[in-house]
Amino acid sequence: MIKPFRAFFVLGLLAFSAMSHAAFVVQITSGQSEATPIAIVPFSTPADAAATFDVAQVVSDDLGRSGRFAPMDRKDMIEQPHLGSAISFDDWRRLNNDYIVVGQLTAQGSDRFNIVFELYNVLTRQRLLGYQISANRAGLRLASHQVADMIFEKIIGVRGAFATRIAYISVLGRVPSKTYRLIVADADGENPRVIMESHEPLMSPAWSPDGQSLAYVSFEDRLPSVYIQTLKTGERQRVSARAGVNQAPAFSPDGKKLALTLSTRDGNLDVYVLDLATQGLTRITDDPGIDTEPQWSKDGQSLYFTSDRAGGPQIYKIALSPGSRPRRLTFQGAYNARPRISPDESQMAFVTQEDGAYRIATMDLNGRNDVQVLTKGRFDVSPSYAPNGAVIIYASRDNGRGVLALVSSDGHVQQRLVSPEGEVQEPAWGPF
Amino acid sequence: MSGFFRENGSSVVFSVILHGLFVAALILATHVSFSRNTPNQQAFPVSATVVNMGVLRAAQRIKDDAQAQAAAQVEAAARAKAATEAAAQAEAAEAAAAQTKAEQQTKAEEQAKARADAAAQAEKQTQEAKQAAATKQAADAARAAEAVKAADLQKAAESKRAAEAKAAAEATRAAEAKAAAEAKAAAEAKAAAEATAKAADAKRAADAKKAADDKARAAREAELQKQLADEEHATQIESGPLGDQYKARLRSRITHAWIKPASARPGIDCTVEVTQVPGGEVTNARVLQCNGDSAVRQSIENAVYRASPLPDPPDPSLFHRVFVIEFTPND
Amino acid sequence: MKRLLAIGLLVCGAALLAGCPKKPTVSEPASSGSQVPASSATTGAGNGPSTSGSPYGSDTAGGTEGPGSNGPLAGRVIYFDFDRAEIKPEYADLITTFAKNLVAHPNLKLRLEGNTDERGTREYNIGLGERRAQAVRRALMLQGVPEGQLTTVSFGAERPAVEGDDESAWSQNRRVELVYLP
Repeated sequence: MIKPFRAFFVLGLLAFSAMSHAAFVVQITSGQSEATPIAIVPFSTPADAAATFDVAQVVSDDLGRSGRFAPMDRKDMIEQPHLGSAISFDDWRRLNNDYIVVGQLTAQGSDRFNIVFELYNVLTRQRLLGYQISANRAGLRLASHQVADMIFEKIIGVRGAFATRIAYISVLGRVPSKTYRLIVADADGENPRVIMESHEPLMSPAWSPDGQSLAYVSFEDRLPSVYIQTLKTGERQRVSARAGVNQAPAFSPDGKKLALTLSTRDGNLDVYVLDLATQGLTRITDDPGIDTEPQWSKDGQSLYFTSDRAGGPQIYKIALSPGSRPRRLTFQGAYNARPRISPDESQMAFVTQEDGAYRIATMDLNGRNDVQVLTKGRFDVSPSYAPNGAVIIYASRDNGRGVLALVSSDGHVQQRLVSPEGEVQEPAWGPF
Repeated sequence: MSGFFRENGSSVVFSVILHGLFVAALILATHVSFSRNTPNQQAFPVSATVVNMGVLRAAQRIKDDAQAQAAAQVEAAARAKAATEAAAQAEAAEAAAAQTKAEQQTKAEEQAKARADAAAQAEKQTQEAKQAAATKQAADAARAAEAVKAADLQKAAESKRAAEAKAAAEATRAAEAKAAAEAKAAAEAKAAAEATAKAADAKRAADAKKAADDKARAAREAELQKQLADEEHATQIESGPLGDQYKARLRSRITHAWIKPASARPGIDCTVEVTQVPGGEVTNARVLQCNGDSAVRQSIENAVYRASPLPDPPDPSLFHRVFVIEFTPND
Repeated sequence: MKRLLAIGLLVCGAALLAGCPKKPTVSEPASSGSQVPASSATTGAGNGPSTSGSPYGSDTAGGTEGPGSNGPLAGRVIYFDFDRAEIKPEYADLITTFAKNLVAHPNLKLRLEGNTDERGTREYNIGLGERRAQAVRRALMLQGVPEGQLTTVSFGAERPAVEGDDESAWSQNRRVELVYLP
């Protein structure tokens, strides 16, 4: 029968034309690494002006300092809602905000406060967060940092480290009368507290994993000795004062051991592990070169360290089982020293010499050991990771003065920390 | 164009119905693959899963029309059959009443039974024809004609039998029987003529409706052709320089609006379905699939809204009310 | 759960803020509202109010001890090249002088203080300073000085003789100081 064949032919043509019509898809392969615009509206405050605290200012400063957010200037805020239901999203959208935070600070009694806050996405009008925190007056600053942590984590997807602490060495005065101080402060540099002061050099602060103690090197005994000081009580314990050099202490991940550098009688520096309970000492390296600056792996089974056994300082890794041989990690350039390992051990930060300048670099430990130089100064040294691994604090020089600076672990964001007077050096970021 | 349709009306209509079925089948297949949510980016834009609302609706309309028309056909055929059956049954009852012998009554009963069987068979045939009519309009028409024909034949056979019975009964009866038979014959002829006329009317109505339906279908077919032609046109433009320009403008706008979080690393592959109104204002953004964390998802959804209003296309046929943006960061 | 955690953190944070004493001899830098008890739980030295000189022995055997005072220290310092620990030939006489003195007076003890310039990492510089002090020690021992009369210490970059970010300052900091102990 000819009729059905004709029908199928027509059908086939129509079907073919339908198949050749492709779907409309736009492909995006890059974006902007600019800061996310966010409005943090001043919270409502209790009637008693003396008891008030500017939570929004702390949150705004924290988020802005991270480099990932561009907080709106409160001068430009036409209205200041305190509740999500009072937000007119179109207005805030017109002012070019992607997110908005509103909240209230209320007094609940003598020395008792409540912080209530909400985070909204201005574009989708979606409520992303709503939380309430209680604190006394002295704890309001810490609570504000916690608010910033929650907002940061919700939008960026990484845990915030705004409620943590840093330790550093401050040096005042000039020779022959210098004063050295070991200081612990909030991660934003506020609330500095002197932990130890001396007229002899202090060096190498190192946090215990529980954040309760600091190990450091002090020259007060006429030779560099290692001390451990409990922060709450101020109690100090001298853990190593052997003849020669005692330095570069580093707590093991379980807090029970200390890796450190000791020198033999003929001045050869090597890496050792000290059991804090038994005082047992284990020698890890045995090499005529300078072996120092040990750092633990996350599983506590290996040490990263600096060694110049190959002629100049390079970074090596050695397993702690007896008979292990060290493996060299850095091959770029003539000077690579002072390794610091990111909390998830995916990355290593260190000091590298480039064109005569000392800069902070990172090495990718998971892939092909790619090296990226993060900073551009002449004397950028002493890197230390924030406990969320997202940002690195380090010591730099600005107009001949030692200052502290921050760089994000991917190198995109750089910030300067407001540093107190004098020289500031050797920062160490505390744990969560 | 219309000449072609007149000549091959049935085959074109036939093909369009098949086409409708084909599209329906494609849609079904598409729906299944979407719910599997395969992450293979290659399959999505290139597969023949066209979801064009215009074509879909046109095909659906044709399918509906075919179904409605077939139902109407069946209805007409059933009506013709019913008329025939009524005439046959009335006549059988008369024949049985005229006879005095139980044998004749039994015979009439047998005949009635035979006719009932034939009717049931015709009924069964009708059912089968009903089912078949849903897909073959020409077959239905043929079957209707055949049913009418069969009813006619059956009626001729029945009237023949009735005449024979009458002839057998004539020996015992006198002129009344003959007169009654004659009167009955006249009544039969009248009823048969009426049934035939009715069937012929039904057939004429069916034919007229069929012609009207054909015309309507032809019109819809033309509309469909035009839509397909428009799409061909749009496809051509889309794959030409104007289409490239439009895509480039969209790319630029969205790239500048996307604040890329640190976790948007190479290897991330996320798609967002965008709904816009003419003028470019974005009314909806829906993340279809994404292998990134919540920061990535937020950022791509936000990017679409931040890019609103989207740029106008250089040619109006390029405007898509709903389309897809795929985010694959390469740094 | 989250609230408990927040409260727990707050309690710890508040306790930490409240419980950190400072050393009583310190003039604290301006800080905001840290309540600190006056108790001092310190051991060890380092809290003396002396602001001049160093506790490292007196000034017997000639010259004051102040690091950086060039005059009296002339002839008591050996300078080094960048990143090197070799003793340059011009110091051979100095070594010999000291060696003879030490051999002649067995009760004399000499401390060798190794230093570096500020470049590089601090802890590696401690090693570099120690290496320089050791070089001088070996040179003296080669000239007959008994081991027991010599001690070494390294200050690395922590005690520069001259402040500055240029080579003239750096060259004066890369040194080993020879200091007689009382």
